Amino acid sequence: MNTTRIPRTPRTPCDTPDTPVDLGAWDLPPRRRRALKDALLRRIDAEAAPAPAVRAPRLLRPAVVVPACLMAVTATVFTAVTDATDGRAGRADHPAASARHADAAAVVWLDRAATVSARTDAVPVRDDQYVYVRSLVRSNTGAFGGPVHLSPRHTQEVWLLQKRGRVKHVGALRESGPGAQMPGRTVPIEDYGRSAPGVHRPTYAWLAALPTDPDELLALLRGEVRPIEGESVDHAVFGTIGDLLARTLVPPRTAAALYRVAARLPGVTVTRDTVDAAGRHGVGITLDDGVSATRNEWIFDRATLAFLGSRSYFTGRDGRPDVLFGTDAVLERAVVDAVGELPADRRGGEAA
Amino acid sequence: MERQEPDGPDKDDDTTREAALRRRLRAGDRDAFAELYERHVRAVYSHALRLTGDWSTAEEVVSETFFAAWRTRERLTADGGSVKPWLLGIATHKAHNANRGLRRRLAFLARRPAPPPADDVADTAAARADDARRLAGVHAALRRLRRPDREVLALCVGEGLTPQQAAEALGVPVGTVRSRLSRARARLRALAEEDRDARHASRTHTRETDPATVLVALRLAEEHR
Repeated sequence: MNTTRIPRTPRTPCDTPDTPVDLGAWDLPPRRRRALKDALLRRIDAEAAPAPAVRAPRLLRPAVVVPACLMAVTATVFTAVTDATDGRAGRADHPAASARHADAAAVVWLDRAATVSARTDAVPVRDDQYVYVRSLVRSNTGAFGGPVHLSPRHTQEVWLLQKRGRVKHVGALRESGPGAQMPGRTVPIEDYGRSAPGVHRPTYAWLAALPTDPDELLALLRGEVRPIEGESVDHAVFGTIGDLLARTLVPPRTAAALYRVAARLPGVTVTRDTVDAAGRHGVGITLDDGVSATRNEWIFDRATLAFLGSRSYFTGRDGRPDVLFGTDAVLERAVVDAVGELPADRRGGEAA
Repeated sequence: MERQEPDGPDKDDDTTREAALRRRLRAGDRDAFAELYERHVRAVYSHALRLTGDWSTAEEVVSETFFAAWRTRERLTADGGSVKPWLLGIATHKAHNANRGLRRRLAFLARRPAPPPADDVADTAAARADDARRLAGVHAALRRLRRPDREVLALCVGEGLTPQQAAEALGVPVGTVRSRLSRARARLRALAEEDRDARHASRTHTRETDPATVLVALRLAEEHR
């Protein structure tokens, strides 16, 4: 057995024992500490449950999210290869990496999508109602530091409260099917910090009030997003727009403006044929800034130009291919009166 | 079982306990997981707070770190000392990825434990007022460093890991840890100078919680080495 000593005086740096640098120390309030522990124990118990299909339910990660598992590897490699920006210089498979402007074909497709969207009628949404979005999702359930393992396809339903002002009750989330987290249970989404409408709680009214001038909207989004280090601001903007398209009901004029914003982002390109989590084929729009460790791809129906879903990749390096780590498909969007309520009309509105 | 953080002078006993914890975790012992949490939650939480600067995000990092630790327990080597470097390595990556995007945020909020009762919130709010100012200062100082340097500083100075342990946590050579650490110190020193000059010029008073406090403390420490 190794006898590594366990440091226990947080304020004493190991290499310079006398340096009184104070980086603080904090503890969770006792009840919070217990609550987090209880929730964790429930999670690991749920995972240990015999049903094999639910082996890794908890890493139910929304598709566009960077699952820590592979991100860890990527981040490490990043750090090892370069400390800042040129880690992807060797990549040959993504010409976009060096592009300064959005690809012309991408601009055309986004503009067509914007035009179609702008012609769509807006939906009246009341303050006391919920926007309901039903999606099919596959996410990365691979182990931390290990290879990507995509979960089976499962359904995710989200109800988002439309109320103005700050709220604790944001909405609810329910998943069902193999690979789902707490399948069949409707779990409240609560933010006891209370969120106001915004990028993190995008209500229909908030979205409708966004500027429809693409330059203004781009400036606004650039100010709102919080890129992680190593990620360009525009990559974060692209990711945020993708989130809005995939998890909310976007007023048509706003959607049109969002598409036009995307068309202004350097590095946006078209994939001729790609497929969403429901198996629907379409045209892909992706942003590769040549720097970020991940890349998201939006999928549009070739004929209707409706937003179908998205795919997320860890970007490959040194000629290695990108690795898919998540995908989803929006099946239905609607406005309902209560959490748990389903839209009466299942024809739904993919045409956000 | 409710063990507190390792405390007291008996380090050998503590080392033995950590080694045993490592074996039990690898074997999938649920009680060992509970003990892991009790022993290290404070370190993980503090580390997450320094890197994210946000209470809510830090809670997410705590949850995700311990859950990832459980799911990847087989990756722990059989021999070794404290599991803390391994745990803080996971936390470092989780903090880096935390709270990105709407979809992730919704999932996080949905699976977070219910908020505490009102009285606890009130206590917490009062108790946290000073903490919050302190945190803002620490985070503001740290965020002015580059990420690799910041992470090494947080691990070594914030959580007291040895360079070897920090290297283990981050999966980088120990020489890299040392060079990042000295770069972080040099940068903080330079920033402290700038801040002091700027403050002098503008004649603003220094509050105890000013970001510069961390820097000045460091600068003084360096001068007296």
